Amino acid sequence: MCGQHYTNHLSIIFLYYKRIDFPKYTRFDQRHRSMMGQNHGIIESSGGEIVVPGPSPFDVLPEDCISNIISFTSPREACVAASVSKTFESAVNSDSVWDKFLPPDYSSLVSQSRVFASKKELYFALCHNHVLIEDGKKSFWLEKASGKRCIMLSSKELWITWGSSPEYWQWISVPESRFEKVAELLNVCWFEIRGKTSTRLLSPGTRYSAYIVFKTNDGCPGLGHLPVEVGLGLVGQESSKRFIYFVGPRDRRRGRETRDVTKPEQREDGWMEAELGEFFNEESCDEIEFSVIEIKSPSWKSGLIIQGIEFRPTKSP
Amino acid sequence: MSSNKIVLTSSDGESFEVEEVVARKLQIVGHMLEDDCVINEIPLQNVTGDILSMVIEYCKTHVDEEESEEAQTKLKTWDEEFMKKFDIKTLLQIILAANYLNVKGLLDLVSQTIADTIKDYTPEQIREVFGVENDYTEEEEAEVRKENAWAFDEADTPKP
Repeated sequence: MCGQHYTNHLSIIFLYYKRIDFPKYTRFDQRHRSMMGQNHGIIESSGGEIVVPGPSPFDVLPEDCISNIISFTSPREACVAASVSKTFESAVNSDSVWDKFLPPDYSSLVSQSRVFASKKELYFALCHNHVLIEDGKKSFWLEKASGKRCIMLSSKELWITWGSSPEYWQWISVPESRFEKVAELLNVCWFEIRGKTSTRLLSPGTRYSAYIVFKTNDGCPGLGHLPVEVGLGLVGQESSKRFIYFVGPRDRRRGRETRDVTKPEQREDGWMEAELGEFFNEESCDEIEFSVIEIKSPSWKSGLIIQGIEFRPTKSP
Repeated sequence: MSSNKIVLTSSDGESFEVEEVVARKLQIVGHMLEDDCVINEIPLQNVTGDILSMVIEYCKTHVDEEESEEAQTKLKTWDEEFMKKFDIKTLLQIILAANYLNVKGLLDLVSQTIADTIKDYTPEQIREVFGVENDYTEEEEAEVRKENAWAFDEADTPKP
C-alpha cells in the first residue's frame, strides 16, 4: 500500500516537472526540498501551482544503503555522521560498516576467547589495545581515525652491535613496556642499531613514518646531546638520512648547527620518540630497512632504554 | 551471446529496448528471466525514465567486464567521468534505483562518490545536502556528539 502510494506521488512529481520543462528534478530548489519528507499532502504554492511533495531521498533510502555509503568513508567520518540523525546513527553502527574498516585478517589477530558485542566494539578494541604477534616480537594495532595498521618492532627484533654482550647492553623487563624484554644501553663507544621488516603487515597505498621509541636515564650520558644519524628506506633503494637527538642540544648558542636535527617528543604512553623517516607503502610487498648510528664520538655512551621501532601513518602537516 | 532484446519500462512509461545481456546486469531482471524466459517486456515500477536511462548506460558500459589491466583502467576512467555528470540529489536517486534493480557495481560506485563528497562535512552540512531532518532531541544529540567527540577533535587535522 505504502509503496504504491509513494510511487504515485513520485510519478506525479516527475510528470509535473517534465510538463513545465524543468531541467530534470536534479535541481529541486531548497523550498521544495525542505517540504519533502514532512508532508505527503498536496500543497498549493503562492503562484497557484500544485506541488506534490515526496519524501527526500534519505527519508526513503534504506538504512543498508546509508551503511553502504558510510562504509566508503573512514572510521572518523562515520563517527561524525552518527550525529546526523537516528537513522544515520543506526546505519553507522551496523556490522557491515565496521567489517569494512577492520583489516581482512582481523580474526587471527583477536583472541578467540574474547567476545565482542559488535564489529564496532572489536574495531575500537584493536585501536585501544595493541596485540602482540609473531611470538611477542611485534605489536599490532589500528589507527583509530583511519583504521590503518600500525606496528612496533620490539628491540629483540633489532640488530644491535654488542647487544648480546651483557657488559655493554642488558635485556630488562619494565612494566611500562608492551614487550617482555627491552634493551638497555649500559656502556658502549660504538652505538649502532639496524633492522628491517616486511611491509606486509602495514596498510597498502599509505605513507608511513617510523619512530624509535625510548627512554633515557641521567640525560643519556655521552649520547643524548649528540646528533645521531638515522636512515630509513626500502631495501635496494637509497635510504633517506637525517639526524636526531635522544635528549637535545647541550648548548643553545649553537642553535644554527643543530636546527636540522630532529628533537625527541613525549608520547602519551610516557615513552619518548624521534622520527627516523617516511616511506610510501605501495602494495605491502616491500622490505623496509633502518639504522640509528653514532660512531663518530669516542666517548662512552649509556642511559638509553629502547622499546622498539614504531610504524604508523604519516600525519599531514 | 544472445542478441535477444528486452524492453524495460519505467514508472513514468518510458520504454528502453536493450540487449538481454545488458538487462541481465540488473539482477532484478535476471531473476525474472530465470523464472520465466519468455518475458520480453518488463515494467519497473520504482524507477523513472531519466534515472533508468543512466542505469542502462552504466550496464551497457560494464556488460563485458574484462580482466585485463588496460580494460579495468579504461572502465575506471569511464566511471569517474560518468559520476561527474550528476549532482548529489541525482546520485541519491541512482542509489535508490541501483538498490531496487540490484546493480551492485553501480551501487558501490555511487556510494563511493557520495562518501568522497561528504568527506570532512559536519553533521549540519550532511543534513543540509541530503535534506535529512535532525530527529534527535537536544540532549540526545549532545550525548551522541560526546560519545564521538574524538572524531570531531581530529576533524581539523585530516589524514592524508
